[in-house]
Amino acid sequence: MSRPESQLPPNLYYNEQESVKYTNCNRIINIQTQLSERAIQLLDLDLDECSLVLDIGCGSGISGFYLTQEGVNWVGLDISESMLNVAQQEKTEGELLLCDIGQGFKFRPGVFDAAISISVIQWLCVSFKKSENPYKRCTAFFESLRNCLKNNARAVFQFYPENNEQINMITSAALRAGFSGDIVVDYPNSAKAKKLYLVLQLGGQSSKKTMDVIQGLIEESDEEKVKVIGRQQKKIRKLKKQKKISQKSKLWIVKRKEKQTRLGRKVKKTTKYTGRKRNNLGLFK
Amino acid sequence: MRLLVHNLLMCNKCDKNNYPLKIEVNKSVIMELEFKKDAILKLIPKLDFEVLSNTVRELGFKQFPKQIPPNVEQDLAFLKDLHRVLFETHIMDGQLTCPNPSCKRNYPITNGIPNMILTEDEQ
Repeated sequence: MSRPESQLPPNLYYNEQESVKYTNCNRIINIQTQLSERAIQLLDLDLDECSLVLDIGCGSGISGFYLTQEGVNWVGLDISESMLNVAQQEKTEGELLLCDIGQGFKFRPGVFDAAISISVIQWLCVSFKKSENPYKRCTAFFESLRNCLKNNARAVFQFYPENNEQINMITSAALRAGFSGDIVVDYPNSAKAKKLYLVLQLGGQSSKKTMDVIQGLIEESDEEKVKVIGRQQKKIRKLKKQKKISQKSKLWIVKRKEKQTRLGRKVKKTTKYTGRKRNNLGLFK
Repeated sequence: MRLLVHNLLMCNKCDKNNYPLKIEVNKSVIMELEFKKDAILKLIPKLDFEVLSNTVRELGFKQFPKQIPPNVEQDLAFLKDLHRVLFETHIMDGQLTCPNPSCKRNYPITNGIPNMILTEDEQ
């Protein structure tokens, strides 16, 4: 199944039909719920202080619903009118804005306590128009975000990068804008369950120049998988180490004779003539 | 759109004199929402109260106070008015206009959602 990002721009991909499907499909809701809950956990909100969160790519309001449950007010940005209409219909308690994050956005400086984003920012790395430059869009986005977040704010982005180039584009834009942070990988050994979260911090004491990839959640069965793979690899390495004995050589013949003896078969004695090179006189053509 | 986000939002095109956006209301509706005292108290430091007060008065609610009353935690009447104004008043149709005289960009509000997307020329 090809990625949505390679099919259509997000405002066209998430049309009315897709938006309705997104909201009614239990599988999608479950996934988005898990991602939202994990991102909120990584946000580590101080609920006594936190009153305003920015939800980037809020869509139909699934992640916003969990923010409301935590008792925080939120402002959601999305490029799809259809998705926002669904959110409006569902009477989400957050504020909704139709906005293209790659163009940048302006709020009063330092007004948000935190930011969250589920399955969105990889869209910044693809462009469908000549006028859209992914590098510039990533830059504009992270600069806008930096301006509207308070000092020491944290931002968590669950995203689906297609390749390392996209990861680098996003992380370098974030670093240029003044963020520091890491990428947290959950379930790194499972192709299906593996999820990436960009966890950014603004200000703070250490402003690291690079981002590390750190291990997040790892399932018990994941650990088993790692052990099994380890054992298999050990076996392969051992087999490779054993030198291969070439067939029909004297050593091979001797080993075969030993095996046959062990099996109790009648075997001729090993002499200086065993495995000797014979002159084929053409008798056995 | 409710007045909470209006209190935060600036014009996307300009860097100066881009706040607050002027509101023109064609249709608004009141939708009741559960009053949560703690949530509203936490939000008060975030608000530009002068802007909020001016906007509310311009939209017709003349009794809204110009300043945050002292001892706000006990002033339930004020908090309920604030709740109504921030969370229950939905502007469903209208527009937002940039106050910068050299910009004056209009952002339409449709189905309660302001459209802040700029055209290719404007970026």
